[in-house]
Amino acid sequence: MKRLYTLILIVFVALLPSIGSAGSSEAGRSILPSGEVATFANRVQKDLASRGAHVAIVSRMGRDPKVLPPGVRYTHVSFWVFSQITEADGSTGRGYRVYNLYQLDGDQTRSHLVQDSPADFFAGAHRLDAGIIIPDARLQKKLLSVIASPTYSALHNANYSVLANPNTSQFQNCTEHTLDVVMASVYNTGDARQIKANIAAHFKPQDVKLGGVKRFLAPVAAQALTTSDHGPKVATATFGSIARFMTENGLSLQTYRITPDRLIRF
Amino acid sequence: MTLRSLSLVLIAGLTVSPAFAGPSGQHSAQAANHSGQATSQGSAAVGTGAASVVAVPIFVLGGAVAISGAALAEVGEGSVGLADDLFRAGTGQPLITDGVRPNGPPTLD
Repeated sequence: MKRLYTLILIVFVALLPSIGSAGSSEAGRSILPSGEVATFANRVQKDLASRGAHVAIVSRMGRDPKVLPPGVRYTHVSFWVFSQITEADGSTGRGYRVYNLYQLDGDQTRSHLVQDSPADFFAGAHRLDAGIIIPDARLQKKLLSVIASPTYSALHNANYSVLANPNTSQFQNCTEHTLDVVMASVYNTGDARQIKANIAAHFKPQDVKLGGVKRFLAPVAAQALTTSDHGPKVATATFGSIARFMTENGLSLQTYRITPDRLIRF
Repeated sequence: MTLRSLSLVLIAGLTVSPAFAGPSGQHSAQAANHSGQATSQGSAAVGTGAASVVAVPIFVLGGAVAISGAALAEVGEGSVGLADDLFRAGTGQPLITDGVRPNGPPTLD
């Protein structure tokens, strides 16, 4: 029995470093070469601008898709807002600012809302491949109103779960916050209870298949992997499920993928 | 044999799910030259720290959308910048949604 406990301990200790590095790294360097990341960030900005997008939903691939559950391709989602930008040195320009929900560096179970640049956004990319939704122009206008209002922050819940249930308010992740803001915009409401009721009624989240053992052990390894807000099935908001929801309900103009050398329609 | 099976189960159980955890991490290391903290969302969101980037959303229907000047990332090694931490206004308390009737399907018309 003693041998058994020792083995369990060894397995956990061996796995902890990979779990730790799978989280946020606030002061880390970009995963890919910085020049490539900057070039790609500019490419995405110019592509959005060429389509006249003032607000877009952009996702990045923060992990190798091979290690992600089936149906999940992108791991982080944010709003990109066309803005007049003034840098610290007084230089100005027009381009996109990125509105994110990020996990806290020191506590993976908590999140904060952060605004950064397109290059910052892709610094966290495992591969230069972005999923993009350009909302209908009418929805862009509504989204901007919400993003620029107290509702945007009020809809944030700092209790973070990677697999947050979008129908409930116990936990939230970046994708769920994005969905909440979309719903607030569509229904012209900041009432979180109404938003959750509408999500439960009209949004189909992505099923995530987790075996019983995996589901039981995951939160032991990392608290942000909790599924305590789910019933027997685990389903969460993803870029793909938001894209399908928006397409099916006539809320989007275009949905596509962009890489350094290709544009692919979903 | 039991030990071997148990160790396999543990490894299999933990390797896939945690890999999903990477996504929302903030990588403030810059691929481009962005300095300092960003603030000013033009909303109730409150930035922290010294302001050095001001971004004001532009929405003029039919207006030209073009990237220019400082908005373009400088290609090459840049300084590490800190992003803007917005003030969180949400309570984080679970909501009771029982009894809330949903609206009809979403529409923009």
